[in-house]
Amino acid sequence: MKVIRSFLKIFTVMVFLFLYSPIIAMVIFSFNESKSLAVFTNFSLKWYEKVIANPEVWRALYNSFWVGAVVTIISLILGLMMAMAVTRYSFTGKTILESFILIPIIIPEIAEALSLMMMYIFLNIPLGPVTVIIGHIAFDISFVTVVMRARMVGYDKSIEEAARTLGANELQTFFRITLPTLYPAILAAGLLAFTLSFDDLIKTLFTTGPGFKTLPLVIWSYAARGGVSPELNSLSSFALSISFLFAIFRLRAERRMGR
Amino acid sequence: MSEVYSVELENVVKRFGSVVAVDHVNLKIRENEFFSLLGPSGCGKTTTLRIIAGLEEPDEGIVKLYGKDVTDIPTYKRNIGMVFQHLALFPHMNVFENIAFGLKMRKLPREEIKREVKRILEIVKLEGLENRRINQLSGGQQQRVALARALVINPEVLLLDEPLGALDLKIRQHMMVELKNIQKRVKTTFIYVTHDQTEAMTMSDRIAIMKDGRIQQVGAPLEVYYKPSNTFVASFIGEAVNLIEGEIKENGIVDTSLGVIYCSEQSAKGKVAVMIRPENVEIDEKIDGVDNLFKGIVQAAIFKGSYIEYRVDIQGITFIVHKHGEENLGKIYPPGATVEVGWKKNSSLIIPVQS
Amino acid sequence: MGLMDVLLKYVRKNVSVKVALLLTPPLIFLAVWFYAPFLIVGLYSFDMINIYREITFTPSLVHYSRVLSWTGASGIFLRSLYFAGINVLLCLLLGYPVAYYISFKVKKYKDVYIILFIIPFWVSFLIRTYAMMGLLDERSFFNTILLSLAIIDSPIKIMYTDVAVILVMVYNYLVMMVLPLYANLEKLDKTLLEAASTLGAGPVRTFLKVTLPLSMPGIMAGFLLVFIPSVGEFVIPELVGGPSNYMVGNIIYEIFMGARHWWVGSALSMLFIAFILSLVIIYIRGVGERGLAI
Repeated sequence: MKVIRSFLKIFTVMVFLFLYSPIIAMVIFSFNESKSLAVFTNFSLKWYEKVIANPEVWRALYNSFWVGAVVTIISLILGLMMAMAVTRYSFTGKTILESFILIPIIIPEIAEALSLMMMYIFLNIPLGPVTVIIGHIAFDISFVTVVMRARMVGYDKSIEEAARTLGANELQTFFRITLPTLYPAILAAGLLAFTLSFDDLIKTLFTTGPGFKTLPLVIWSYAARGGVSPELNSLSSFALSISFLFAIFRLRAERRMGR
Repeated sequence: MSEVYSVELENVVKRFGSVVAVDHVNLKIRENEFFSLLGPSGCGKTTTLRIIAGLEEPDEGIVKLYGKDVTDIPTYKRNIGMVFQHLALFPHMNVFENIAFGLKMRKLPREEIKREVKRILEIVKLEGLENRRINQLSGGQQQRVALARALVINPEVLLLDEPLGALDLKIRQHMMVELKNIQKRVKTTFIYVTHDQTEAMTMSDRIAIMKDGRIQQVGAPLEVYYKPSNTFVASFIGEAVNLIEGEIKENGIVDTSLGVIYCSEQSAKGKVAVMIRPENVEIDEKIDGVDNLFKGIVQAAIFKGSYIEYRVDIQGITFIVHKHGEENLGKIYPPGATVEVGWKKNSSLIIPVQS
Repeated sequence: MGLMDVLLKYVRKNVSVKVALLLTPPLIFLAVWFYAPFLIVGLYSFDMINIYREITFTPSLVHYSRVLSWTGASGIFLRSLYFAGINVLLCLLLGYPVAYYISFKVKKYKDVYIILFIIPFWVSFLIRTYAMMGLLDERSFFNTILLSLAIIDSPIKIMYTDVAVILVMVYNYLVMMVLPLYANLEKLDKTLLEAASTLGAGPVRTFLKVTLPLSMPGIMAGFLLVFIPSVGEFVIPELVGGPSNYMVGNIIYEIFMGARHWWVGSALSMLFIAFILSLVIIYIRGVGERGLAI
């Protein structure tokens, strides 16, 4: 028993090492003064200075944020409608509808992105931020619906009936009762939608127009062109810190909901 | 002047698919009455209540509140209050906000809302808990908040859908008394749905007993207990009942498989049942001065605290007898003992057999 | 009665109207921006759109036959399956002991372990892949350390090989295996294991006869969550592999963006989607609807 236990422990530690070492190495070498990826010579912020001085990075970050925000709001509205219809009412064709919702999650993003691009080209729609946003939403609605549906299971409809007996009409009931009580579901789905949009590479790559780049696109173009570089290390570490910030925010939100 | 009815249902029908949940229900509920809808689960009592509230729309029939046809009026314009089975308190609001919700919807000024909430909190004995969150309250307190929220809007009718179901026995008994007191104090019609006959018997002025969407009987608690309109009501109300089927021989005499049973006079014909409440039956080695007398063998004697329940076999029929009184407690007839069982003729009631 | 009241009353009386009002906007969006593109691709694949972007009603299977007669095609599909299969297997071999250890052997701070496990996956997919590139690079400190310790005499060249593609896949997909496994093991009634040991089963037999069979739902869920997306992988072979390690996604990309042959690219896309969907259908047939409940 002891042997098995120690083996499992060492194994787990090794797996954790496997998970952490590439990321930690990337962050450490982003502070390296020399261009070497092997020897850490001196602590330096010069690669960060380079990144910060690069207007392309700032523009991309700004684009990522506002695209993410628009995508989140629209996906939330559409996903909420879908989730409410599916969880509250029974109607014919519901099973077909549910697979209709799941298919966007299953189909490889590359096939989806190229198809959307084909349609944009076929219909002569100029590529740019709008086409990117549409692409992200088409993908995010399904995720939002699935997350919301999972959180809406067991939702007690009688609180809405209670509001109606107290004199609230349908709209008042929706805005004062339904929406506030669904807040945890909306928050969870919203954070997921934003993260999906913020991190998306493939959809954006094929649906963006000339000059419009998001942060993953900038990282991608560097990585595909020049491979590993200290400058890209610092840009990635910078992006990593943003992801962490979101994750911590999400974790705290979930904690608060748990209480 | 004709009597004022707070709620009237006329030939109300509600179907869910092929199931008739409410089947031609007619009810006239008096002003300031404590009225219970009692029945087993699935009998249509909750649906009836929801039709009064406007949460379900009847397929046929008319709903009137104080003489006014409200069948087509939506719930939020009906001025009714409702306490839900699982209370349905708003989880994102505190006690004050929950209770004030109905007043806010009625666009009352802030000061008046505060005053009204304070008044109602006093009635339900929750003063000082305004700022508590709902999940910080005990079950009994949540109950009171739900009640206060429904009462604060001064509803014409208060509808209660098994509100005590979730509470444990002690608090439930306490709340029963309290509810009745509150009803007297606020002077409003209460319509109370329950499957628990104790609750209905304890609080109600009148009870409607429902089965399969139909009203079986409407009457005061004593009336439905001692004068059930059919065998269903007889067996549903009360802890136990003896029902023996037979045929009317002549007025007040029924021919049954046990032989002839003398009953209080009742105009009925053909196949009937005779109902005898277990506490009205005497049991002893030798009984005098009764109209109906049978010999039987004790099958079981169960000590139930304030009385003993005997199951006595009389010609293959199990007869239930409840024996009260201190003098008998020391003496229990063991299983196998031969006893006499008897009752007076005004303790046996002829009732129609429920089909 | 205002117009609003009339409208509300109408909606209130008709549940189907309510459902329709809720479903129409999202469904139209999905239909136009998710499903219609596949319709266009379908038309291209059947040669029903010409180079002037005009729809012609002369369907033909010529592009499908081109794809199918290309001898490399089956190899690419097989390689995608092979990569995804190895990936699932490695994720299971690495992930099961970890999930098992945290669920069974860790007494305190289980949540801390799980959060520690998830933290690397907070980082976006692209950056995780890039970080692995740093480790796999010939010039990396990893190689330098091995060299200086004289464990190897020349740097290991992993980048642009099958090994690199699979390693990075495992690195990225491990979480999808461990989390459902862990959730499953946590739900498992541990008194069953005690029961097995009181009945005389040793730890190995208990594991093989009780724990492993009971954790099958978790394994199957992990399988789906790792296998399906890794069959459709595109970014990883593009960044750490080369043309000789390409998977179906990369070939489609090459045909569309490199050769710009939209008709053949569409035909390949359609085959690819049919392939993925049939994998999912086979999975559902085999495991049952529950497998999708994660």
